[in-house]
Amino acid sequence: MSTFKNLGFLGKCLGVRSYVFQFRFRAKDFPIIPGLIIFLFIFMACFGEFLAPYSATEGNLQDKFLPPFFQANGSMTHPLGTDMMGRDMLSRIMVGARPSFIVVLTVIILGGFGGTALGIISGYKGGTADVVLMRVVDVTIAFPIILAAMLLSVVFGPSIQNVIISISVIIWSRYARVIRGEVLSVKEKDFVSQARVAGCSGLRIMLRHIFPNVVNTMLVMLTLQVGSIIILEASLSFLGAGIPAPTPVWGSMIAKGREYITIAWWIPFFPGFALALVCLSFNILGDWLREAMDPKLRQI
Amino acid sequence: MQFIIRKLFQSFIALIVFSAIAFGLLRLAGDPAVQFMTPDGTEEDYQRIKSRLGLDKPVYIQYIFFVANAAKGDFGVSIFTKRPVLDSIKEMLPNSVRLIGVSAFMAFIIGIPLGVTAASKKGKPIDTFARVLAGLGQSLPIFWVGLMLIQLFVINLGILPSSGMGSWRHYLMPAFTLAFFFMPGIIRLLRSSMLEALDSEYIRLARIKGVSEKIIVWKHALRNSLLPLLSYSTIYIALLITGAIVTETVFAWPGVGRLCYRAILTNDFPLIQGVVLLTAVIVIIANFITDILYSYVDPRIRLKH
Repeated sequence: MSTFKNLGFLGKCLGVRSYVFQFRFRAKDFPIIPGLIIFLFIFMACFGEFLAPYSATEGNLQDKFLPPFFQANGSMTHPLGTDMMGRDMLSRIMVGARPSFIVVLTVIILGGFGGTALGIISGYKGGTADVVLMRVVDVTIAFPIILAAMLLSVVFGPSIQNVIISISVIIWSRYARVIRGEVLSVKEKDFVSQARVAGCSGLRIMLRHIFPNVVNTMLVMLTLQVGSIIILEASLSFLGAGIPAPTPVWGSMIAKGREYITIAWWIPFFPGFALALVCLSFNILGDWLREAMDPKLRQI
Repeated sequence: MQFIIRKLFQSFIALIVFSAIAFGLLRLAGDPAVQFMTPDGTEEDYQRIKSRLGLDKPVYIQYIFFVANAAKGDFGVSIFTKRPVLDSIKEMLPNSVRLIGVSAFMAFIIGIPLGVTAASKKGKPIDTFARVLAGLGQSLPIFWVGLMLIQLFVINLGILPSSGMGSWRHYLMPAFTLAFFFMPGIIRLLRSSMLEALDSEYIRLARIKGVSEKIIVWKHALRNSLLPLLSYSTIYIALLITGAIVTETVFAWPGVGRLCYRAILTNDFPLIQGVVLLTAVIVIIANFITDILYSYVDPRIRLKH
């Protein structure tokens, strides 16, 4: 019964009410254009397949290497041109948003939330669990993710699961360590001891009292790291250790387009431009979020 | 002293964990004995090959052999090049070191002055420029930047070579690409720690004393702001390695990163395993040295533990 209430509160905390939107109304200068780009990214990830004007995987070989509309021989039928197999670039880019988004979302849940949860448990409970966990964190925190991902891809073959696993396994430690540090100071506050005196279970305290106070840090870390997660996944796909064909992925589009850069510069350019826009938007959003949630800058 | 021992122990554990994982993956990748079998081999042949490769011994004995071989420098033979893995790595490593060295040098030479100026002239155009540059460096995919540089300087302008190593011209684009990827960390970190330092009491005292602003910024504040850079070195090393692998692939730079790329393409497990292991060892050792250096420079770290 109380677990139900706890979970309900967790939902409230994360989503609709309270914390995030409170700050949204308080802070001015919400970066509109980056917000729009991110919304577009998520929208394309969900619905791109249905909205794309052409197929992203099959093309007409007669139409290969058509340039984008602003160059000679280009037209609005293929606004961003076509690639070496005659596939429409715009459609490929729209559909290519999905794998990146799936990777980012899963890594955020597994690595970000997982790492935060472990950090909260570790910081609040303390004891041997804390010591052991922090040793594990020390070992994994500075390891270059790309090496782990390459190793996994050679052993098990490249796949989206490998990418997600290798990124999550290394990234959770960063959250765990930072969140644990915050928890150590939060748990000394009065309302925590009062809750304990009132008879709250450990789980309830962690969910209802500690988590809301660290969620700011977690959100800022998440938004700032999304950019590097996207680039990491794209780099892996570029190297051939990421998401394999035939899924259209921005990273591998750039890799394949490399060979044709002398005759068709738009094949590697536009997917990379999409990547850059999305990353830039997340970084700007993260910076804004960090300033909006900084207590020192808060207006009373 | 106790701190050093703790860190040494941690590094050792990390080494063991990684080698165990690499070893475990090797076993998962397939039974090596099968690779040596001819199609008409019998059960006896299989057992014979197994005992020759030492595969019939218990797993932990195999692991010890694996580690012993690795310590001797024997990482197996690359499937693709048919040469010992260590030889390939030894050939390519100096090239990678050169690239990383030049890039890091570029990044610091540009990044440190930019970070310092951005903080001391906060709000002015140079500050905006530095922050925009840092933002771009963190957002633009490194391989895309490399490709666009090739497009611009090789295809359109034709003034720089597109790949390989050779003259100083060959260094320009790859080094700049990697430096561009690496710079934002330095700029942002230096800027924020300089902002803090410039606000502190001892700086205010120096101003009251009448010390010139230039000396205050470049001598007093900078010295104290360089410290967080050292503590972030562990992350920087990982960043440099990641960036180097991608940059070498884009520019066909004959280094260890490109070796990785070829190993992925050809599914060359011994090669990849050797590179990853060696890199992990280097990373762990570098982290250890950094931790020790940092604790030496900032005694508070030593005492906190």
